Amino acid sequence: MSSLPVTLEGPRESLASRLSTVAAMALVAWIGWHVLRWAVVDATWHAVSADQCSAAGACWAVIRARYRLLLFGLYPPEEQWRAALAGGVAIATLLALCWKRMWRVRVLVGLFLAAPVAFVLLMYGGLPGMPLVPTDRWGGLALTLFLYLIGIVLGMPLGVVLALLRRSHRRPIAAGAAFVVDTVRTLPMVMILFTVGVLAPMAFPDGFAGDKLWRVAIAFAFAFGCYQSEIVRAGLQAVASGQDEAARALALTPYQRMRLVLLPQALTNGLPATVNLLVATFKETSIVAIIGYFDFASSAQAAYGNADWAGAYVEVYLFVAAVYFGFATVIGWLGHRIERRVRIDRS
Amino acid sequence: MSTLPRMKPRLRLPSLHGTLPALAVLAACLVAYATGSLRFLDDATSWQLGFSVIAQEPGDPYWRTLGISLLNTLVLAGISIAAATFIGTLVALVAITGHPLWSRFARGYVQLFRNMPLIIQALFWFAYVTHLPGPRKAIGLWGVYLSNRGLSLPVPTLAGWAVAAAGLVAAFVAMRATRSLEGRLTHRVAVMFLSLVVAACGMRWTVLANHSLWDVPQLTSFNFSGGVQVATELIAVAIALSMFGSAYVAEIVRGGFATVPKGVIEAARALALPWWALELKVRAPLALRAIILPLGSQYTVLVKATSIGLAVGFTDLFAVTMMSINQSGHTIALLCVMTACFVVLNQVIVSAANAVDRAFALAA
Repeated sequence: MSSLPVTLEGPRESLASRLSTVAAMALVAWIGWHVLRWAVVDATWHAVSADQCSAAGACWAVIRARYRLLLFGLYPPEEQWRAALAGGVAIATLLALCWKRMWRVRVLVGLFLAAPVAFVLLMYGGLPGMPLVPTDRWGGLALTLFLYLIGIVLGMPLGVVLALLRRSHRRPIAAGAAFVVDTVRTLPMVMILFTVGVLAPMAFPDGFAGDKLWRVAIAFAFAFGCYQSEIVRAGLQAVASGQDEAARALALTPYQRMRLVLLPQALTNGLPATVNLLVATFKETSIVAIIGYFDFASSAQAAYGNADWAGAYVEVYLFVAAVYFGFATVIGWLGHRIERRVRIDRS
Repeated sequence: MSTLPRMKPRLRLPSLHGTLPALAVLAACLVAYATGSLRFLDDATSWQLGFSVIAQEPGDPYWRTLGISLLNTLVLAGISIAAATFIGTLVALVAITGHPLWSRFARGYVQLFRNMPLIIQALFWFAYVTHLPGPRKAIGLWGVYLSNRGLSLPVPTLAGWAVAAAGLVAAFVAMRATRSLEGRLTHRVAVMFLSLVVAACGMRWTVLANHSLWDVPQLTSFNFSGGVQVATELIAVAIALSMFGSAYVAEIVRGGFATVPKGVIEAARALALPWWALELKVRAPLALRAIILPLGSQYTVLVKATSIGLAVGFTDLFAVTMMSINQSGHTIALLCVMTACFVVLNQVIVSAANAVDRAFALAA
């Protein structure tokens, strides 16, 4: 490299570069071969317990045997079609959000209200033909999806409201909103959820603290709202001041200015950050496992934690990790798709 | 230097806005102390920590138990931060080589450990460590043994520390003595290294010839004795935090290198700098300036994330505070104390990062 790297024939591969390519390919081949042998060739797909699995390969039979526990927790087996349907509703909502036809305020508000109501109705039941299933029987991936759905559906509007309050011209309101948002953002999420989920019933008399699961879901939504409010506020600050002035010149009311001019641009500005937050929030739902809730992460422990399947932890965690990874990737991918479509043309 | 573009805007004083909750917590602690609400901290806990860096007994008062748990948190955070920085930097360096295969490996590593919840990672490593063979079939190398009882490491004895100290003192003296050779860094480093080796070997083979330098773990009937034993909980959380943190550190370091203007590198090439000088004296120092601040905030994230230790039963500050609340019922006071500890710890990290950043900042 001591000579000037000005060449007419283009970059040439050095010997070191070629050697490292060969080394990398050898590494890929070696890892790939071992993974393939472990996960496919030597794997056991049908077995009634971990003892029958071959020691050399993966014991995928554990997923086959315990997938209901992983997905639905202790939800009554004969009613699990409802939890599956509710999960389908949650995923369908997610997919619908990427369809451009859906991006009208009325449709979005309708979707945001209908999806959680349908989810909770299906899970909770109490209708003819659908016996009531109390929240302490909910679990697994269904519980994770419930927390995520409630967290986002309640947290998104809360984020907008908190951001607007923080920009209020009345000083006490702005200071109050700022204090609440900053406090929640400073505290570790585990601590907030532990205080609300575990300590609240000790502080309040029986029955006053409400349902255990809803309490944590609402706390989760509140924390999400606080994080989202900062994204909205930053988005509002990034809207060019000429936009507001032009809207004033058109004699729009403050409400119209906010709804038609400022907020749409602010939300668009904040979209990349919102997508990051949405992905992070899905992973954050697993925090409830620490404080004793039976979500997807803790159902993994239960899945290999009985005498039949002891030791098959690698397969279970790989499955759970793949599902989290899949959701996080899909949410991020969908978000970036939306981002590209709504990008404001500033040329 | 004055022709270099400014790499970042001038540091502004932190606004009071952001620190308001922190100040409120500290004020609440002071009020609690003044009104005697913290007097229960002198009571005995009556329970024992599962793991502690220094010995703790059931008769210890709450303040001592909480202090030891804070020490646990500090040890965990220290190990994780060091390991995450080391691994993350390596991964970033692989990523920026631009080699299509190797940089894809690095990207894959980052994606893998960032898109998986930290708790799943901690639970997995805990399951992994507890499913290892027992002490009799422990995986061993050079006196380091890994088994389902945890990790057994050799520690230096007093003689070992003395040898290390002799070497370091000699190196320091050599560095001071060769100050006149100012520009000749390579010569100074060579002299330093030589005096370090000579002093350490001299100490080892003369004064301490009959002493062993390492206290190596020995297998007894059921477990190891000697050396230092690291509990399974600490290993699991430390691996999880290091891997998780290294993915973020890798992105920060990679981003830092991406901020180095192309023109500067081209200018260095035009001056016919050798490749190592280009990397070490031009690219790395410029990248470092864009890395320090985000790295500091990543460290605070890791400190807060130590609280997932609760998931595998590691007795860190968060877990012990929750146990204390269960036992004593002083919810608000204990939450205040814990939050104050985290706030102070993170403020120290942020201030240190700011100080380092200011020390390296380019002149305007």
